[in-house]
Parts: sequence; structure tokens; C-alpha cells
Amino acid sequence: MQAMKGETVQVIVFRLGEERYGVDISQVREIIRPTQITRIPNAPDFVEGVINLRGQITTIVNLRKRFGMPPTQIDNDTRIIVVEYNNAVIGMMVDTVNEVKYLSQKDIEPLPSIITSREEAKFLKGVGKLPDGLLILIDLNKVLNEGEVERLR
Amino acid sequence: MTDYKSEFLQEAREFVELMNQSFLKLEKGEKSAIDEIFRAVHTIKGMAGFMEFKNLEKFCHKLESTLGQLRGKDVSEEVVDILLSSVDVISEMLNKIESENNDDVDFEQILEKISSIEICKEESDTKKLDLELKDFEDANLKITIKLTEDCQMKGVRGLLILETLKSVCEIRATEPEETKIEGGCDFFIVYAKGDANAIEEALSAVSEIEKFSISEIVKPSAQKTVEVEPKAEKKVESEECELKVEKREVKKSESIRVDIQVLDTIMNLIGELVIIRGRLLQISSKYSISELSEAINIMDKSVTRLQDEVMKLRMVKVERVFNKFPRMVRDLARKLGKKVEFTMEGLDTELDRSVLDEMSDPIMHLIRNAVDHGIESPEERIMAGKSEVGKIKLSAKREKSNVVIEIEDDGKGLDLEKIRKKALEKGLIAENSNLSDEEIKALIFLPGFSTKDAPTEISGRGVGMDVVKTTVERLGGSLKLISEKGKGTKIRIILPPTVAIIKSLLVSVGGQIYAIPLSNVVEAVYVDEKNWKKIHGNPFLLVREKPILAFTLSEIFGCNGGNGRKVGIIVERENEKFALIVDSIIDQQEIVVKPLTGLISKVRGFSGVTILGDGTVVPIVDVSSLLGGDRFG
Repeated sequence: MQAMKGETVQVIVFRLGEERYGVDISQVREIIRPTQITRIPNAPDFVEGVINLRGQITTIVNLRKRFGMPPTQIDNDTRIIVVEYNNAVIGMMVDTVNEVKYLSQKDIEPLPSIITSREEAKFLKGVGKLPDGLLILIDLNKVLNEGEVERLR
Repeated sequence: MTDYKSEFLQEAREFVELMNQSFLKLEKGEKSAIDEIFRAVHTIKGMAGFMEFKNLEKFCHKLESTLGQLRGKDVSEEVVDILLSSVDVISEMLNKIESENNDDVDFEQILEKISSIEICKEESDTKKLDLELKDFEDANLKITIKLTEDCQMKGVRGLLILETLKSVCEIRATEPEETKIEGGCDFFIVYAKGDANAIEEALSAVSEIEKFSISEIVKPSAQKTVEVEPKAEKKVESEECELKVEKREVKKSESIRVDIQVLDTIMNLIGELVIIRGRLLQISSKYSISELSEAINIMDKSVTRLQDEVMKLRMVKVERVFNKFPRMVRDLARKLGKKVEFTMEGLDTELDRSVLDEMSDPIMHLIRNAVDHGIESPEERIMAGKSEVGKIKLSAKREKSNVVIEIEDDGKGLDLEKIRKKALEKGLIAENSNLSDEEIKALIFLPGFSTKDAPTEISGRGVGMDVVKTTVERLGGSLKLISEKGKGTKIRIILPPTVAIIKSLLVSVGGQIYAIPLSNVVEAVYVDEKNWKKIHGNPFLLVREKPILAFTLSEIFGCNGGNGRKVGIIVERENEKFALIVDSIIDQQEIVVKPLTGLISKVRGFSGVTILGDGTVVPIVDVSSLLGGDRFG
């Protein structure tokens, strides 16, 4: 969030289906390939399970399920973006990670409230305009907040 | 200044705790207890002065002078009430200092009450002053003390030294005055009456003293005024100091305070070491390189020892939590007009810190229950032919590898008929249900049960009996209730001394491994057509002709169970046995519990996860919550 105030932000661009999304690079710890995921029964449905990331238990969130999109099979392109949020380490499973882009602050437009008020769009923070098209910036706060999850149940 | 704040708060709170205990001793007639209280208030005052918390300092000062007048006197319960509430004011101030960095607590009201104690004791006040003045003349020793250059809180240290001295001798005067020493000065003189050797010994134990010397005071032939005398001594002092340069090593204290979080971090790291050790053992057995396995064996031993040591570090005496109970029982009993004699045993029994912290509220609840529901009013007790003073005993002891905590009262015991009625009213049981006594007793552990007609402020809040029970079970312990009408109630809690590393059974369900804590497991049996029965649509497993309700884990976990012969793990929950049907048993192992955090922290049925030697993450089944809630009951 801090970086948003600066002149430019660096974002990691990833793909879910046809859409391109971006997450602030300062919040990302690493990007890994899927390893053996242990399922935790009774967990919220978008929680894929937990993995052992060098001895640290890391919860894996399936971003497709989180965004209410139909899940797909894990394939060679599937990546897990590991972020640090609220002192916890969480992995977000995405279809593929493309690149790192620079976005100037003036190229970021907030989404109209008519969209963000909709259930499936409340995780979105804004739209970044890139020469090759648009990029949706996601709000980790909303995606990974426990209170938010509680509310959903 | 803020650097010292946490230290100050911690120490001050310890003194508050001490005051609470000492006031209760005082009430029981131990007159010497007032000295302890006095010392505590005085020290807090000194520290508050140093930290510049004026209100706290002022309040302590006031309290101190009142206490001074109470010395050597019998103190009534009412006075103790007032004094205890003044202790509460101090702790309120401390809380405020912690959260808002100020001590703005309104203490006028309580100050008035404190003053009311004073009025009736006024005459003694002047008498005491006279005494002090005269006493000064019989000082036989002069002690000069110099603090080290780098001594951080000179005021507090000085005060501590004075307190230390007070414990071995009688201080007649100091130079500069005590208040100035509290303000912080690195050199001061104390005139005292006592034994030089004892003083030397006591001072040697205090850290941050650069040097000190003790000399006999030669009685001045003529009586001099108080003022003159120290001055006369002062001239000699400088020489003395140089003559008697006692080269003394600065004594380092034997123990250090460690932040609890640091211990947790170390514990986690050890947990990881244990996991990696498992992994290495696996690798070495695969490749059988003798040098490697030798090295790993040595490491294995060290890690085990390290693990044991850290476990020991985490152990704390139950005293830490138990000490707050006497005050609570006293206040409660007075409020309810009951007479209670509260005793504690086995205060130095040790328990893992996290277990103890978790048990704090449940034990408090049980004691409250004992005072509120258990012990009768004095009239009722006399009518029943008992002593009017009810007895409550809280004890802790080590039994084999477990810690047993018991809360016992000699009150009226559980009224089974009343419990039955209540349960009926609440719709917890059916009208015509025929329950055994044991079953009725078990009703009080159901959520939403309370027999007292009007829930009192005391027991009707916070945790209920159901929470007590689930807490104990979550910690891997068990609870037993023994009650006899008219004779009393006894609650026995059996706890494992630690929870971070547990023994568990590894089982396979639907191709994934799960761990079941061994403390829950009774036995395991193979499932076949002969012992698998459906009764009224519910599956049961027959174990020695007894039907046990069965839960197929693959169904609960929503996965496809494997084919082949299944195994029923018989687990015990709330004195009832259940069978968990799994695909197979893999191993029995010591595992390190890692709690579930974040998004999955509230997942029902699991108490955490663990990492096996090969790096696999395994969920740990929490039998209590797995079968609890809407799925069962």
C-alpha cells in the first residue's frame, strides 16, 4: 500500500483465465511452482490446503475459487505467488505469472463503485493502464483478510 | 525513559501481586506481613518517582503513610477491604501507564477512605515519630555505598539496596535522605543498627554496587543533635572509603528475564530441528553411509537433549496463576456473605507456560463455582451440622507424566434433581429420559447450562463448565467430577505437562496422512462384517460386544476412502467412546504441533498441523471439535 503513494509502482502480472491481474511487488515474497499440497478438510472452499515452504506452514489460496471463477487443473504454468500478509505467509495459486511491470501512479484508475460494490469485484483495487491493455490490481487486504472470510461463512 | 517502562511495569506488577498476598496474610493475623506490603508500596513509589508518574507516586506515598500507622496492629476486614481496593487503584494506574503512558486515574474517593482509617489512629502517629528520632542514636554502623558508573536506574537500585538493608538491619538514618536516594544518587551513607557480617553478606548479593564499606560508629560522648552527628561522621568517611577499598567483583545475577516470545521462537526453531532430524534419519537409512549415520546419531542425541532443555525452560510454577486466587476467593466470599477457608497445595508444581495460561480462566471459573454454588451460607452450614467456615482446596501435583489439578470443596455438592429439572427446562434432555447419576452430572458440562436460578455476577459470566471441559480436552487432558450431596464436590483435571510436542498415531484417510493425538486413543480394531453394524441407520462398531458409534473419516473429510480392510480407532471424548474409521494405520510418532493460522485458524476438527520427516504436512485431528457442534449431539 505504501508504494502506491510513490511515483511508480512495480507490479507482478499474473493471469486468471482471460484476465490480467497485478499485485504490488513489495508484498510478494517469492513465486514458486506448486508442490505437494495437504488438504485441510472443513477449511473454506477457496483454501486449497497447506504446503511446507522450507519448514514454514503456508496456506494456499486458490485465487480462481476466491474470485468465484471455475477452478482448473494444476498444470505446468500454474504458479503460487507467496505473499506476506499480517505476519502470516500465504500462497496465492494463479494460472500463470507473466512478468513484472512498472505502473506510473497516474495510470492507475480507481474502479467505479458500481463495480466494486458487486460481490465478485470487491477484491479489486483499481485498474492499471498499460500500453498493451488493462491490468486489474488486486487488494490483498480483502483477498486474505480473516474477518472478511468470517463474514462470508 | 520508555526503555525502562516495560521493566518498571513488570516489576511493579510483581509487587502488586505480593501486596495482594500479604494483605490476606495480614487479615489472617500475620502482623509481619505489613512490612512486606510497606516495602512493596515503597518500592513502587520510588520507581514511580523515577519514571515520573506523579499520581502513582503520590498515591503510594499516601498509602505508605497509612500503612505505617497500621504497623503492629490488628487490622479489621473492612480496613483490608479498603487497602485491597487501593491495590486495585495501583494496578489500574499501571494498566493506564501501559496503554496510554499516563497515570490519570481518579483516586480521590479511595484516598478519602484511606484517610478515614487514619483518623482513628492519629495519636499513634506522633508516638511513632518520637520513637524514630530517639532510635537513631543507637545506630552502631555506618555503611557507605557507591554504585557503579553504568548503573541504569540509580534511584531504584538505591532503593533496592535500602530494602535489602532493611531486611538484615534497622536503618536509623541515611545521607542524603531516603527521598534523595530514590531520586538517584550514586553515593550514599546509611546509619544502621545491626550485625556488620550480615550486612556485608546481604550487600554482596546486590549487583551494580561498585564498592561498599561498613564501619563501626564510635559513640559520641555527648549527645548531639541529629543534624550534627552525620556531619561529624562525614569528615572521617572520605578517608575510610579509601582505606577500606574493598575490591569486589561486580556480581552478575544468576538469572535473566527472557521475553516469552523469544522462548516461543526458540521452541519453534527446535521443532524445525526435530523435523529435519527426522528427515536426515530417513535419508541416512536409505543410503546407509556409516559416517553419515554416525554423525546423525550424535546430532540426534543433541537435538533430543536440546528439546528437553527448552521444554524445561517453558515450564513455569502453577504459583504464577494460582497466586491470584486467594484474593479472588476472599472478595467473593465477602460479597456473598460466606465464610471460606481457601488453601492451596503444590504451588511449585510445574506446567508448560501455554498450558497454564490456557487453564487460568477455567480454574478461576471452577473456584468461583465452588464459592458461589458449592459452599453454603454460614447459617445453612450450621443447620447441616458443619462448621460455618467452608473449605476450598486447590492443589496441583505431578502424577506419572501428567499434572493433576484438583479443586475440592466441602459444600453442598451437586443437587442431581435440580440439575435434571434445569436440563429439562432448557430442553437439553427429554421429559421421560431415564438418566443415571453419572449422566446427570455430565449434564452440567453441556453448553448453556447453569443451575443457579439467577445468574450471579460471579459465576454467570465468562466461561461456563462446557468451556472448562473443552479447554481441558483441547489441551489433551481429561476432567473428572466427583460429587456427593451434602458432602462436597471435587473436580480433578489431568493435564499433559506440555502440548508443543505430542505422541500421535499417523493414519491414512483417502490417500492423505492425518495425525490423531495418542492421548485421545483408547485402542484400534480391524473392521469386518462381524463387528460393523447399522443400528437405526447409524453405523456402529462392536468392540467386545459393546456398540460404539462410528464415524467414517473419509466421509467427514469429504474424500474417497481407500479400498480394503479398514481400521477403527477407538477414541474417548467426554467419557464417551467413538470409533473413527480410517483406511490404515501408518505409524506412531512424536510430532511437533504447529498451530493453524490466518485463514484456516478456525477450521473445525483440527488442532494444528505437523511436518513429517520427509517434509509432508499432516493435519492433526482434534477429536473434541471434530465430532462436536452440529454434526453430533
